[in-house]
Amino acid sequence: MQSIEAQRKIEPFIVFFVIASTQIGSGFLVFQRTVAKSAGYDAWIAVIIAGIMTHIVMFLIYKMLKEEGADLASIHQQVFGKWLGGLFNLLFVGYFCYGLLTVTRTYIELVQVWMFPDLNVFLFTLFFFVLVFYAVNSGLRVIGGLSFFSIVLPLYLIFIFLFILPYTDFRNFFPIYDHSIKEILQATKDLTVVMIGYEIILVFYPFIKNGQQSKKWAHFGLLFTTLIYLYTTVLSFAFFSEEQLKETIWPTLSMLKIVELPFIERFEYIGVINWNIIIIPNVCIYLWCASRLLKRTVKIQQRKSVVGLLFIILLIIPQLETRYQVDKLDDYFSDIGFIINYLYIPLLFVLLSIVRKVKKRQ
Amino acid sequence: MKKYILLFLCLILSGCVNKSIIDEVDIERGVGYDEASDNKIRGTILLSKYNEDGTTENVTMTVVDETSVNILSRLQRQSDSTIVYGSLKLVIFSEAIAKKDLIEISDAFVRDARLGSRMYFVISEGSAQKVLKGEYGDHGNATFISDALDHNIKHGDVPKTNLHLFVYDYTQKGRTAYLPIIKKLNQQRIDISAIGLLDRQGHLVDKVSVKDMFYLKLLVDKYSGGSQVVKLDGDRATIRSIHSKNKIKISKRNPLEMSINIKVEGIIQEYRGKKLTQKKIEQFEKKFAEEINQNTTKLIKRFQQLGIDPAGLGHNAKQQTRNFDFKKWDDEYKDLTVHVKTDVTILESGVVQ
Repeated sequence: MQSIEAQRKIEPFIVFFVIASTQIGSGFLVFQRTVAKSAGYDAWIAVIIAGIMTHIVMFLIYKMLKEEGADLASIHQQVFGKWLGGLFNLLFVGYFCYGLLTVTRTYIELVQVWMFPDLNVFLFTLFFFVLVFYAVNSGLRVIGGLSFFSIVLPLYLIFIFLFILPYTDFRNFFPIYDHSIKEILQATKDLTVVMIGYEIILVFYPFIKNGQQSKKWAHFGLLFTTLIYLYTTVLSFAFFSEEQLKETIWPTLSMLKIVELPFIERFEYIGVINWNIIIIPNVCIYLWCASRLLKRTVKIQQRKSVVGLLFIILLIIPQLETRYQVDKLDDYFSDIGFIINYLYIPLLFVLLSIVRKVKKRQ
Repeated sequence: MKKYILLFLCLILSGCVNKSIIDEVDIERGVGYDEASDNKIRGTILLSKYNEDGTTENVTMTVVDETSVNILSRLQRQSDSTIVYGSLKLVIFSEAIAKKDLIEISDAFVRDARLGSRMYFVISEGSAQKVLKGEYGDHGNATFISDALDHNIKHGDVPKTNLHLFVYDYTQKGRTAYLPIIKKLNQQRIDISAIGLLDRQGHLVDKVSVKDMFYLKLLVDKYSGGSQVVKLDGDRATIRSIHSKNKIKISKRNPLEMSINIKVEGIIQEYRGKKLTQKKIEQFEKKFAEEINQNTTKLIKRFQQLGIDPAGLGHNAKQQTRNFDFKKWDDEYKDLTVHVKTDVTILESGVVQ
């Protein structure tokens, strides 16, 4: 394997932003409804449990990546051999493309519902993808920079949420732990799939300077998103009644509807537009990972596969038209994400440690 | 070359969405619903036309239809410019509508992403159309009425309300909603005449008059502002509440009993009588507390008889009970004993003795 030149690598602390920005995607706007359906006002406990789960998986991932120059493709090859490993690589390529598709389509739906019902989906996607291509074409360092801005720039939204405080009732959380363990675990499952995206580190790990040093930044990134999720959960639960939560599709945005400033009457539009900044690195990183894995498997030049993948997805997106289809798209992505992150990765970890032990003995 | 591509892109992109130029659209600021014959609804919308000299002209349009959503589309046909409704401030329901279809109509306002959740829902005594047809203030009727509600919520006796809180109260188990009731006095003035109480189905069942509004607000809301006259052996003091809190607790189980602790901090605004000594102030505190106890207890009894719960006793009981059973609560609520305990502190008595 050819080694990666130093100027194409990213600093370890950038991992913090990449991880956080992939975790805060379109799911961030909608997760309260699903978790409230499962565990009502107790769902905030699930946020904490789900946060811990992400840390565990991240720990496993870094253990797997400990070997020099390891990434998902090399791990697959070690565990499954060349052909089967290649097949699994391709499955991951599909997964990343699916993620890219879901994130883009759900964002477009958001724009359609909240701002422009008559938006031309194809044109919007086309121009959005031109931007994405421009970023991905410039390499991982640019994507890292985008991630940085996608976290730092919208950070002010955290304070905007405080405007809802006069309309909140924090006693809603009592009595704490009024739901069964089963219900809370169900909510945890719903949440773990909202918080996925960090598994991309398996692919771009070789591009990090002093890989293992980035470990703490990755964990910080996870902690940061857990706290952000917890913050919005607590605020939205104090703001909405349980029934309201179960009916509101985008609670995070609906909360912003109450914000009124002297110079701007409605804030959710700013929120929707800001969300574009948040999802750009999200989409870019999925695309980059998919094309990188393709390159490692079938030796297609990354630039070519990026164009190819974008073209295919550009054709698929306008075919998904109704809320129901988008919702289903989301659901399947959640299911696949859950299987990959919480079943497949631990399994891979076990297999890899067995393989490594056997090799050592030989 | 790059420049031309950019220019080209701008041209295509600007064609992507509909534009609305503010001078060329009608801005809907208020809407009112009245009952019409054959189970239909008479909808009136209030448009604000902003004139060049800075004044606002009120234009109303009325149409009768079966559903509230059709009303706007029918009015669109009668108007020469598009009616936009993103800055809708005020929705008025006549009493007859409030007794029947308020919740069905309100669905459209909750569902639409264009509408803010700070708009006011109010009930009108008499026809909503008539209220919208007045000429209040210089900034348009909707602004006038919503400003009147605004400052009465902040400084007066009207409990906090808006679209979000209404839906919150209506959907929260163990709580029922309330809405302010307004009355048109004459062509230039309106009055907030009562608070309408809605039952769990969202139908108007009772009204709390101006006299009791103060006590209602103590029960349902964090309260500040508003004043009340207290009489004590021929002396009279006007006490202005500046801060209040209520705590609703389960004081005893089997059979269930609840207690409401109200804490009021106030100042004496006006006093008529002999010298105002510390002892006198303490007597006034006690008398005021007693009056609050009596009147709030009366209100709660009234709520219990009607099976409504604007104070959220059920919601509070749920917060203090594991595996709370709302069915059982519904049976218990009617005969529930509620103790009200009030603690009044008079902080200041003005700049003279």
